[in-house]
Amino acid sequence: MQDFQKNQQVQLSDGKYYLYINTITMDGHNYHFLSPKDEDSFIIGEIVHDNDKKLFKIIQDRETIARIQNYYLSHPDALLID
Amino acid sequence: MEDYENQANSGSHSDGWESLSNTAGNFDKTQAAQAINEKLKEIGSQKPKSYEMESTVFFSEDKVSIDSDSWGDFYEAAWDDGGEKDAQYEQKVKNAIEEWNSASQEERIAYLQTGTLPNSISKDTISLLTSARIINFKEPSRTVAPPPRPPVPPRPPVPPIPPQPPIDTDTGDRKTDTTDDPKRDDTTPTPEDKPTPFWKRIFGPRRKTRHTENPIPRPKDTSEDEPTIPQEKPTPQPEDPPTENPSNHPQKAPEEVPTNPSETTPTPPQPEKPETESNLEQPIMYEIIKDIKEEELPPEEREEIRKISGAKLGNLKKALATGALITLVALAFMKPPVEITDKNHASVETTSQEVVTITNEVPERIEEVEVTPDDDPELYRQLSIQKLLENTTLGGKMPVGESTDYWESPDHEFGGADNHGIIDNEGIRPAGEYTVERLVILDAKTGEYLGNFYSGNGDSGTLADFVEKVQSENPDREITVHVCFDDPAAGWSGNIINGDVPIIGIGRITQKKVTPGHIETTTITENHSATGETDNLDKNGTIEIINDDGTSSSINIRHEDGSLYQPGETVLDSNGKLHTIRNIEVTENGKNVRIIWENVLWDAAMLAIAGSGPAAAGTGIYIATRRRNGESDTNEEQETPPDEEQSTTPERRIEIRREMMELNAGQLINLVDFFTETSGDKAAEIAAQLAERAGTKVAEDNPADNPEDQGIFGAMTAPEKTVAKALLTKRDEATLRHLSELLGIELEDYVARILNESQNNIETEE
Repeated sequence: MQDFQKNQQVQLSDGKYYLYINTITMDGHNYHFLSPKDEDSFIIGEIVHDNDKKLFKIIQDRETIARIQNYYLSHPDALLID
Repeated sequence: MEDYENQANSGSHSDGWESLSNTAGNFDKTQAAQAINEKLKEIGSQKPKSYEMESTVFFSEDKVSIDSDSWGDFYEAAWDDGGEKDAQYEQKVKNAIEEWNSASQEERIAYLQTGTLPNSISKDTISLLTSARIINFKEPSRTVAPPPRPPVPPRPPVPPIPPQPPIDTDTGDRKTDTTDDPKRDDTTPTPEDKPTPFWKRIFGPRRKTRHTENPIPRPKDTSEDEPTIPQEKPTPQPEDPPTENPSNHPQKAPEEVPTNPSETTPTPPQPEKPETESNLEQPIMYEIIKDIKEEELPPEEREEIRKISGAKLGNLKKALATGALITLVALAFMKPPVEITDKNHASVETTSQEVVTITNEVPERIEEVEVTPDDDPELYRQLSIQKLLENTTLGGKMPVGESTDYWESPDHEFGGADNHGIIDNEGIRPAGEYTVERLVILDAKTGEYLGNFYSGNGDSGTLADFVEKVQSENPDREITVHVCFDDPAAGWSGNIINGDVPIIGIGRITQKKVTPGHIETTTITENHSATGETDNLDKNGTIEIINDDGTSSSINIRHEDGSLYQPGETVLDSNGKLHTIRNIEVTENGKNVRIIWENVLWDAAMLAIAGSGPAAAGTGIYIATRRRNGESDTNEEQETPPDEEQSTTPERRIEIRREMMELNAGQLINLVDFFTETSGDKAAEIAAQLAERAGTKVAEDNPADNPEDQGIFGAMTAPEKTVAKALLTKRDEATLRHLSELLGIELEDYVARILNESQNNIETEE
């Protein structure tokens, strides 16, 4: 089951709404791209389940993002949503 | 304690508080007046408004008050000094104060100034008030037993008063160094000791601020000299923490994240902690507290979300493809610090995460694709054309089927047979530097590449056929015909067709009027635009420009006197190429400059002589237009027999091609003129000879719009045109020499050879 659906919106506990944009699967991880509706930025994260809570663990290190970037360049079909 | 007891038991009070009380009781008005006068002298002409006792008691011509907190100090000091203080005594003092206060201000001033007691104030009151203050300055007698300590009202803890040095009787200040002071032992005053003014003993050094009814509790001033009011220490506030510190994250972490209670209260600023692996790697997690599926949205919002999502997806893909993902992703702890969207949200939770807004749009990145003709000829061609067309903003578009007058350059009217030689902005340039090689046809609206033609014999008819074909598929399609040149001398490079022809530029045809067989005015302009930025336009107006072939050069858009070049002026770029400035826009900040310049490469009339594409392009479109309108390929003025207007037959097309390639006699004359530097009738004569030798004749019956241009009328056939082109393209030193001999034998041979070749070519093509 996918964590998100196309055009799905989520509200995170920071109070902001994000629009799900896409997912790249790499090394067994599903890295989701969320974007605030009115901002041109993305946050990348993974879904983590903590008991009954569904948490969005944000990727914050450049290395992982760089790996995602490079992975896409070598796997142009890595995006879940075309 | 023992001394006190002994004194009490012996009844001795010579050195005890009683004696001081007596001293105070002996205080007289003369002493008071002296004290006041000294005080007035001390503070100059300023009228004394108040005198404040160093410790707690306020005593002046104004009313006296002792605030509740000060009573504690009063007792403390009194107790330390061995004075008698109890509730009864306190009440006495209060009564004395009340009495003092009951007097009018004038009475109090009069007393302080003259020592005259008002009727409302008794001498005992003065004595009591005075004695109550003197106690502080007198060592208690060791023989007097301390009285029982009265109950002390609650008060804040007071630090012990340090031993005070004796007061300098001359200045009223306390001495800081008493080692050599003969009067340092003021407990045993000697007769020669100058008595300390009572007011100094009472009031001490004047305080800097007025006593208030409700003073703000503050630490006792323990300084011995001029007492200073301790500055209220600012409440420790956490400073704006460094952005690198995760605790400063502007957005709060989810409620579930435990918060360190100690961090919820302001704490003194802490030195910035170096970033450690631990605080960097602390996972940041938000709880997904709500999700909205697309199908849960109303239709109108659904559509909006789809649009937004699609745009964001495009941005994401673009960022991924260009390696710019990091610029779109909000990182909390990356260095250098990123812009924080909301600093008002300063949070102290160390696990908070910020979302950084990258306000700058992701710059468009045109991916450089290295494609060679061998890789993908078609892709290479298209990319090359696209590159050539970038920033080509000016020039005409010729809507098929509309008047050719539409295709008129708004700014330039170049060309015409009256221009000598091949003309561009650099002036008359020797033939041979340029060669029109290709006509490239693009969709005027979309830029879609539609086809190209080798510029040569019959290209106008070919173009007409092509346009006709395009029209049949899409009547509304507008096309532009781009003429590609080579210019080896300028070092332009580029090859959009076969790999063997350097393409130097691209132009669009502008022409006023097209008459088959007669190109009246045709202008080809090469248009450029670029946006440049320079830091200081006042001093250096040089901006970088990117030419259509991708090469770069720089243009200084200011004259030496600093004025901007004006539209129409020519400017030399760093490569030595002249450009005509069409427009210069300087933004408000004076830094961004957008210039549009153009470089007129060619006089199409001359190109027509050379049998090149512009004429063919214009003519071909003209023919296509005529066909669309149901007209013949040629106008009737050319006396084409009606029965020959069979434009669709191959034979007729060949004939049309021949007609279309006919040269204007004036152009031929100009050609001769250019090569021989001969003008006027002589040039016309030479042209006629050349035409005749080429196997044709110079017609004399064509209408002459411009006698100078077309003084000799005639039409050259394809061979003449080929000759002309050969003269232009294959001119060398020997040819010029031969031409300078005006139809010398060498030239005849040369022409004959060219004619033969041309004829062979035509026959082969046909």
